[in-house]
Amino acid sequence: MAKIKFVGIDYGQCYMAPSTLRNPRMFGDIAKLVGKQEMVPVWVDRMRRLKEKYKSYSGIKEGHKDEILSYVLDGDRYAMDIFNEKEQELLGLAPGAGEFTVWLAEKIGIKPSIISELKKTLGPVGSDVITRFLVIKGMVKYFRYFITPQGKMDLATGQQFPEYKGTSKENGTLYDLLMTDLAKEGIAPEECCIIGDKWSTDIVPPKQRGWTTIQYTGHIDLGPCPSTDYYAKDWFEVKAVMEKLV
Amino acid sequence: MADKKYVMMKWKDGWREVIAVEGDVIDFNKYYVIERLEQYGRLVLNRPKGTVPELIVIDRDPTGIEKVALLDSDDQRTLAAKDTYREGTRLEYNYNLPEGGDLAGEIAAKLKEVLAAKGMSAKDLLLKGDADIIAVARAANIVGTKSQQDLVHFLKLLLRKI
Repeated sequence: MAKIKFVGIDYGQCYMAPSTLRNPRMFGDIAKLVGKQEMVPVWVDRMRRLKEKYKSYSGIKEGHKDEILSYVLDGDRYAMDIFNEKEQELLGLAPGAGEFTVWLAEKIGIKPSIISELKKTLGPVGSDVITRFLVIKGMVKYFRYFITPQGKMDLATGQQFPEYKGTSKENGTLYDLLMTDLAKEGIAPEECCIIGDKWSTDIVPPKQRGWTTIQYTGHIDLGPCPSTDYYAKDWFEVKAVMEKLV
Repeated sequence: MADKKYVMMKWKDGWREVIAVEGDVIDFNKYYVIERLEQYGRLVLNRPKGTVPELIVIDRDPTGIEKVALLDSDDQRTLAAKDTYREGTRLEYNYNLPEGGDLAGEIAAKLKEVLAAKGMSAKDLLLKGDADIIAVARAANIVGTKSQQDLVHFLKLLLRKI
């Protein structure tokens, strides 16, 4: 079996763990900071209603964040600024993710890349929620590329590769273009591995292209998938799998 | 009220409840139950003999609390994890409360630092309004748990001492 030379990692609910981002904590902190302590249960209730409107919290944040300001926080822009700060502060690395990344980059010599469905335009490193998260958590230096349907970015230099714009993880065009790039470095599909939680974007399309797939089940567990090679419930298990592959 | 509709609910044990909802509600969408580990801290303070103790429920990161201090007393403690106690589905994380930590001194020092940066004394601030006092508290990273009035009264007491 070919040794792995390229590692791709999904971000949301996989590398990043949102379990510490709880409404009572988030809106409790905001209310205390803006002096509206009595609003905590009201804001929490409204946020829960907004979640039912858009089916999930990521559904709110991916296109309706303005309603957190207008509906939940009564247009209080100061409170919204704190929400945006706290959102980053309260998101955590998934268990073992930091240790895995440092091990892979420093001991094995493979800097992984984030492969994510970013919806907003790609800006400089730290200007979007994902690279800002990597910067805040001190992890950005261990990563190589940030690869998204908005473009690819070298995280060390900030250089952008706009040809990725308009590609998709789900229909596989992002992986096709990535493999063309990797081929120029002499890396074959069987030397690529991805760690992600969603079959439709992280598991099935890469497997169809010959990658090794690790399904992360630590936050969202979609169950067994025919395209999954390995399962891992935390990043310590990911590391144990990767030790056999590199 | 004419502009409200009412939802009726019945439990398997015969318990029935009603609750008002918005008047434009159409029909039921879904029902789901969330099971999740929740932690609440209970900080208990003694009161005179024969009086029930004071109880503060901590819902912000209960296992992250480090120090407690009671203003106008020398009682300052640093929390130290002791043991756990399980009773059925309930699990308690117990703490020892050894004396020390000087949280009051830490807060007073931070207040002095903020006042110095603003070029004002504690007396200057006491002559100002609540909004200015709250702004200093914010700069010193102190917020009121339940109300701004608690925060302002606390700051006024502390400012008179420094």
